[in-house]
Amino acid sequence: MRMFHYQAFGGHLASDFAMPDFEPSLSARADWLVREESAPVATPGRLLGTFDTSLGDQLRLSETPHGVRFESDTVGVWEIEQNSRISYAPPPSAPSELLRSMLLGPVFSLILERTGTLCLHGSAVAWDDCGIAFVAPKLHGKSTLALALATAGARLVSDDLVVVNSDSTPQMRPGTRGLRLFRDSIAMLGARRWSRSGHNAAKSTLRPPSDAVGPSVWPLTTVYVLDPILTNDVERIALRGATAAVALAQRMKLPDTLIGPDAVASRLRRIVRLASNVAVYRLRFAHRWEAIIDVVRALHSWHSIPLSEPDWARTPLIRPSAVKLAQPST
Amino acid sequence: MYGRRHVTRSTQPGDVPAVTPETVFIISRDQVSCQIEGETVLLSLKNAVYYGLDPIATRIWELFRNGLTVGGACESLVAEYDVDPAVCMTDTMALCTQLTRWGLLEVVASADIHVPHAAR
Repeated sequence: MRMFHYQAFGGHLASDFAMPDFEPSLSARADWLVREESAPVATPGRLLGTFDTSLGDQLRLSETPHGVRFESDTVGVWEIEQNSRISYAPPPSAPSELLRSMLLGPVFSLILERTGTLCLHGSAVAWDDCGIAFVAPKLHGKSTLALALATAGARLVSDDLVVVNSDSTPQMRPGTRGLRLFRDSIAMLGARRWSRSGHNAAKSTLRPPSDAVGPSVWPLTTVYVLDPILTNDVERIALRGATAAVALAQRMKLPDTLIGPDAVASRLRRIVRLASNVAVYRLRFAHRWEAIIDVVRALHSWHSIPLSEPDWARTPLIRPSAVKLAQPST
Repeated sequence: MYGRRHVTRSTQPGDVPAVTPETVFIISRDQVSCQIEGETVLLSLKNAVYYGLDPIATRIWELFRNGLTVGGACESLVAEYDVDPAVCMTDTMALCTQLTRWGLLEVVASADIHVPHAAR
């Protein structure tokens, strides 16, 4: 059986299906081994939690003799043994996109959370000693902002899943090295030096040139909770104390109902520690293409970072036929 | 006056018995909490909703840790803060009602628990 080897979240992943989101690895070492099984191996034990998914079914987390298993009608069965061996039995004809989203979502989030890190739902970029994460629900512009900053000189750290320890000096692990964006975002922001590969009709994955990624871990200094609103200004509002901690807690990739009751309290302690050691802001900005350069310039000013004016900011913006930005939340 | 709520999803208000100065409250087991900069972050395990308590609400929360009447909590608060006793009682009863509705505090029978402070 062919195995694909990747660098992922500071470790090595071996998978029997391709994960183009990660950097290939020449090492045969595997901290995480992902393999399909014809049928589930372990018998589910105590139910640890459930989550109603956007696909309309319920994802269940149960104990097994050597670990845990996720299960739903849509994703099949995913067993995790000792936080390292992942075996999956998908439904017939499960698309590769489903396997990818399951692995990059609940499976890796649970494994990484159980080894003491936090998994934020967001995208992250960095400069020398400055790391910024943008956290928000889907369709709030996390990846678009990361691409805008990366084309202005920042390094891409991760997209969709930001893995961070909660020490006194929080550090981010390198995650997926591609940005998944709607095609009109790519058309708008140019990113000519980035290579792209197809995913589905709406989205493509952009892979950055080598000088736009970082080699290892990055410090996490600031978290912006994205709050797109109807405004012409860009402003950030500092969040402190319980407000900052709650803002981070609400943006974890893995829902609280899926982490298991025994792990909830320790995760909350890690979240509070992280909130104490990074600056947390609510970032309010207009959810319009024309405002993206204003956000980039504001971040440049706030962080005194060496951003260059990106190419796309010098050319008149051409509005694509189908703008996919979501409506601001109320 | 105090207590902030951070809600990730809507909740159905539960039945809350009438709160009096003699009502005894204890912190529910169906929550986890953690303090940060004098404030408290709470996660309800019943509905996975996060809440935040400001420093004064945090003090009240701590007072109920071992079970206490509202009147007993107010005795402590009036001694610690520059607050009118009547205002303190009104606000504390309102906070207790809200925290009980959210499943974070529970009303217990006074006979079932050691009460450090006598109710007025």
